[in-house]
Amino acid sequence: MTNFYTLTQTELAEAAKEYKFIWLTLFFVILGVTQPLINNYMDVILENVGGADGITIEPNRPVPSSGEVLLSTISGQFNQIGLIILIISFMGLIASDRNSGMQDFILTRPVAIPSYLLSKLAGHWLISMFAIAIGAAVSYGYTIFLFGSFSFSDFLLFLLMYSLWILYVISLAILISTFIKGPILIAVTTIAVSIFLILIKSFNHLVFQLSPGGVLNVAENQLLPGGEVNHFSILSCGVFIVFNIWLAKINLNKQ
Amino acid sequence: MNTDITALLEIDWAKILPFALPIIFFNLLLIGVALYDWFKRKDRIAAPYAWLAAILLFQSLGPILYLVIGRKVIRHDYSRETS
Repeated sequence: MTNFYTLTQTELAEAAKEYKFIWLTLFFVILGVTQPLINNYMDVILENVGGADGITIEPNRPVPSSGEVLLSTISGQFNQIGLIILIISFMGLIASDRNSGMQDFILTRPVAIPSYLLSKLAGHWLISMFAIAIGAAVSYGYTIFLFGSFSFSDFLLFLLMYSLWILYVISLAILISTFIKGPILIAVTTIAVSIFLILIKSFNHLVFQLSPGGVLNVAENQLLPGGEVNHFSILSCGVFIVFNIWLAKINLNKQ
Repeated sequence: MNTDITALLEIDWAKILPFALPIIFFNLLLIGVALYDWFKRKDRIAAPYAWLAAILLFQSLGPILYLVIGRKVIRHDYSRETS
């Protein structure tokens, strides 16, 4: 267990040395600020920079509720461009260790493979959730400032569910990097699989709802109640994470 | 990328500035972090001036790509070893 703590600490120290905490947070803050501002000031922007003479915006259009704006921030920005940058930022999490020989160095010590893999999982999860939580909090602040109040406990619950999805994505990246050698190829495969999971989560069938992306349905339901949700998908997402790590361990053992 | 500079002159800045300000501020901060790192490493990385152009010209994506990829691609400088 002490191995796990030490390895996680080195992971965090490395990220701090690469300014990862700073720029990943800045990136998510930019994403989080942009969406509510664009939603609120669309007519001003179109008038001034759109070059859109003749386009009129319905003056009595329905104003989106703050829950809807938060949802569009998350599913439109964080889950697309944000997810891609996040995966690119940890594409080398095992590949760079292997290429520099650090993996052999660590695994010839009395370090169990599970604690090595779990330290990767925990370290990168902490880094990502630090950035995402600050970005989402800034977005939340702007949204309640521009669109009216929204329950803070719902927002926290949403972040909790969303962190499970991030945990799944990281475990997926770990699993794929035990199969594939090159970091770029790892990033592309992970992005493709996770976007595919985001696409199939909204089909209304038990198999799709219990797929790893199903936890996103539960998370989005915190922001905008109404849809059918299956709370078992939280459990199934956890099972998938454990399964990924287990498979990665078997794969590393073989090598 | 929009290259039509004249459009910038026609914008009603007073109207657009209050909400463009935070976005511009955070983007400048991101560029600042990337530039700080670039200055420290510009003798060691491969193609430093191409990365400088990428940082300055591509909004938010350039600095990120530099910080993820660019700073790790170290130049193989064999001339220094012989001298």
